[in-house]
Amino acid sequence: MSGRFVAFIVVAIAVAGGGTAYGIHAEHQRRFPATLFFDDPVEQPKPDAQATPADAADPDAKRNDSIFSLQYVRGRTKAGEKRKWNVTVARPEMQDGYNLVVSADRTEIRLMTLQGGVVHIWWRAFPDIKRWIGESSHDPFPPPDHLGRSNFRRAYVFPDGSLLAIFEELGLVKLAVNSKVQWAYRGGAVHHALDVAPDGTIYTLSKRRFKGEIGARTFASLDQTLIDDELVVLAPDGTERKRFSILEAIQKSGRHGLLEGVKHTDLLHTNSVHYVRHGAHAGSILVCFRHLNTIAMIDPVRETVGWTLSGMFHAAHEPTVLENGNILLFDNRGNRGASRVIEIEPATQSVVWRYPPAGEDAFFSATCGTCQRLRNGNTLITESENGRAFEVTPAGDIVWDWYSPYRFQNELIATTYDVHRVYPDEVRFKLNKKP
Amino acid sequence: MRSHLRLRIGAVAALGVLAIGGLFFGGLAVRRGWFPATLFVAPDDAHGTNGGATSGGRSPSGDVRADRSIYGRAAMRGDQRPAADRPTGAVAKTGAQPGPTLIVCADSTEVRLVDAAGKTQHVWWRAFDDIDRWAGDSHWGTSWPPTHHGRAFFRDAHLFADGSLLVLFESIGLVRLGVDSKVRWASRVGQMHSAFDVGAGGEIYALSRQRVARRLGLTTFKAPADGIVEDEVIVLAADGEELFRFSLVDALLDSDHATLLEWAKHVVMLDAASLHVVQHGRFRGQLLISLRNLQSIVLVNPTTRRVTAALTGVVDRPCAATMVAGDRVLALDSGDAASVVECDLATHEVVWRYPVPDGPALHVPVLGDCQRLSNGNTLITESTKGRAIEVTPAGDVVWDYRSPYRLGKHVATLFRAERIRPGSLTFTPRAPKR
Repeated sequence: MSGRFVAFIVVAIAVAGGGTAYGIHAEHQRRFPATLFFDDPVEQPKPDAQATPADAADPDAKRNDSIFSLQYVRGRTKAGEKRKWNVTVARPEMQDGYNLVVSADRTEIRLMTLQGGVVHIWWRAFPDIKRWIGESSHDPFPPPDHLGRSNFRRAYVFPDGSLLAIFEELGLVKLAVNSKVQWAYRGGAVHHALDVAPDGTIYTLSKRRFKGEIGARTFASLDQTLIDDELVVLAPDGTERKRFSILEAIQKSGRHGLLEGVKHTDLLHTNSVHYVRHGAHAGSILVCFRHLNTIAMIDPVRETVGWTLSGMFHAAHEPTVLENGNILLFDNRGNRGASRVIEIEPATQSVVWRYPPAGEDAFFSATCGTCQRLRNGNTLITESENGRAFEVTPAGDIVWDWYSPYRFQNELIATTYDVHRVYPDEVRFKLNKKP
Repeated sequence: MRSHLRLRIGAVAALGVLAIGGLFFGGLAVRRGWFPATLFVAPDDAHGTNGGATSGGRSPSGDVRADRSIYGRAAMRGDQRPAADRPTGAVAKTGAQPGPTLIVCADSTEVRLVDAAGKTQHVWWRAFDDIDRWAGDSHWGTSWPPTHHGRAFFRDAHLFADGSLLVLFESIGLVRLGVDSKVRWASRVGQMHSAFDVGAGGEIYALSRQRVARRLGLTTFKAPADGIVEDEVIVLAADGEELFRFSLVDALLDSDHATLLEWAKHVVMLDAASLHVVQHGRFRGQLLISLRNLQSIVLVNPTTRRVTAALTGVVDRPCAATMVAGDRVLALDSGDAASVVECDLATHEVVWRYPVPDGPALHVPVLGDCQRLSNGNTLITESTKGRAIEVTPAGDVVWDYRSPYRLGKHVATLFRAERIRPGSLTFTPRAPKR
């Protein structure tokens, strides 16, 4: 056997052995060429990989830049000839009072009687507001053609007739009873919801955009812009007391497990704020993370997240804590795809009341939606996208039913963001309209 | 000249083919468990950080290349090559809970009962090939008997007062052994894995897993065309006969907690990692199950087959969840910053956590176990380290056990160390003769 042949054999064995060793290494380290054969997506979780179907199915999923960049949220459905008009049911069992109506048709908030007559209007056009407190995250401010200028997203009325109102993603204004601007705040990008504590402290939401990782094993940002929500705390005069990241509150609280539920670049999509007045969590802020199907108690002093509840509702809004300690919320899709309002007993995680009754589909609003437990035990429900509000008894009977007469672009039913029952003793101001 | 050139080109081509062939042979050797791949240990990361999720798109049913199917070789071998002088045995201090400890280790098909000093008091042993009669329909189907690595060790065990023992061959089946290790019965229903427990009436609840094609109608999770890997609970009578089984996905879908499934991101939707029958308190008789891939610990009513409550996002990678006094959940959170937490189910308040602030870290990248003892201490198993420690509520270590069992040069994974209550056994342990 020639020396060259022997040398060739030795080299061949070395090459084969080296190839085998690298093949083993590549398999272990998931390097090429082993990656050609792996069929399980373990190494790099793709953000929104599972959420991609949701982008098609969930109309809210695409709107990372602006909640209301798509006009259908201001109105989705054509009114049609058979559309009901104004109050269609008004029975003696209904809760006495007025209704504060927040509608997407224009920058007006209306106070209406239970018979559908308007008795007071607050109105302010966005360009009228010349002086703003705080630093907006928009540059320029306001962004050109931003639809948040055209309507109020949410409102809160004080007994003296002054009113807080949100220009979605733009700011929060306080109007006097005669609609004069008392102050206007634009820190960050105020959105969705607000509440007022008994001491006058105002809680609302803002959002911030950032790039970076959130510390979740199953969500990688891949350099995309992410959206985080902030809890904003204002003094009664609109001065910002603090504004902190809810994402960081979750991380600070060691609740990293919550972040493993993230699937969207709009990480949490916080859509409600409720100051808890009763029970063990009094003083906390109850929020809803729509994209995690989770509600959570936030301590606004420690900036931490405490109690949370997940998986009992789908794309929900408006959780509130009742006097009995239960939680009432608007469950947009938890009724086999339709909507429902449920009351949950937190200690047992059981649904103790629901409307409609199990097995029935009575209403649906894919987005928005609110609910309010009234003094008489009835529940007021706002079916936002249908421009409808109705009051039901604990037994599920409708005792008041209202169909918004307001239109967006003439033929679409203007989204009714909220109808809130205001009790007669809470109206201590002179009304400016006759019904 | 030309012939020389041809020869050289041919030689280079042959070397190229050998190199490429070697590359692919190496990869195949890892997947099939062939030499020389068996000489090397895969790093834990190669099996993913998600515990049971590494199956990915591979069906555990009929997959004889199942070294990676649940935990992989690394989990069996532990993550440390022990130093020659690494201590073994146990050190007990004042305050440790008396009683022997049941040791379930990956080195062999043995379960040991050890005393406080780590000395073996009793051994149960049974090789897989010794068992010639299995009852029930396994998910392995025509691939039975499986050549799965689950034949080589017991994944979990339950000791009865009379000295009989229930043991789990991972992904294969349950076997009841007498105190003398004789086989009483063997059940291969489904594809039992990870954990099981025994109810007050002697019935057995076990986790099983299979691949199923199903439509779920979820908004943010699309099931792959070839199906999801679904966890189920199988209920056996005390004699091993199957009573019924139900899907945990259905248990969620049929409950008020259905939307929890929207958290799913993996084809192994739930990754059930532990099962505990609640023996006392308000939830007595219900099953407490860790769902790692939903970051949830759920209570399941086995009668209604529905989830009744869920603790979500409090523990990141929950396993070994049990219900302790006061309707609190004790669970191990595995991963880079592992911890044992005790959480109030009603308020979600974490009332106790180990490690304590500024205390030594726990090393539980995967697996692990925890047990609340009657003296208030907690027994924690650092599986891949082959170590179990008993800690006081203040965080002091009063019992430290280092397993002497090896796989080659590696520490064999210690799946579980369970303290047996003194006086609860009616048999006399018999130390093995050496």
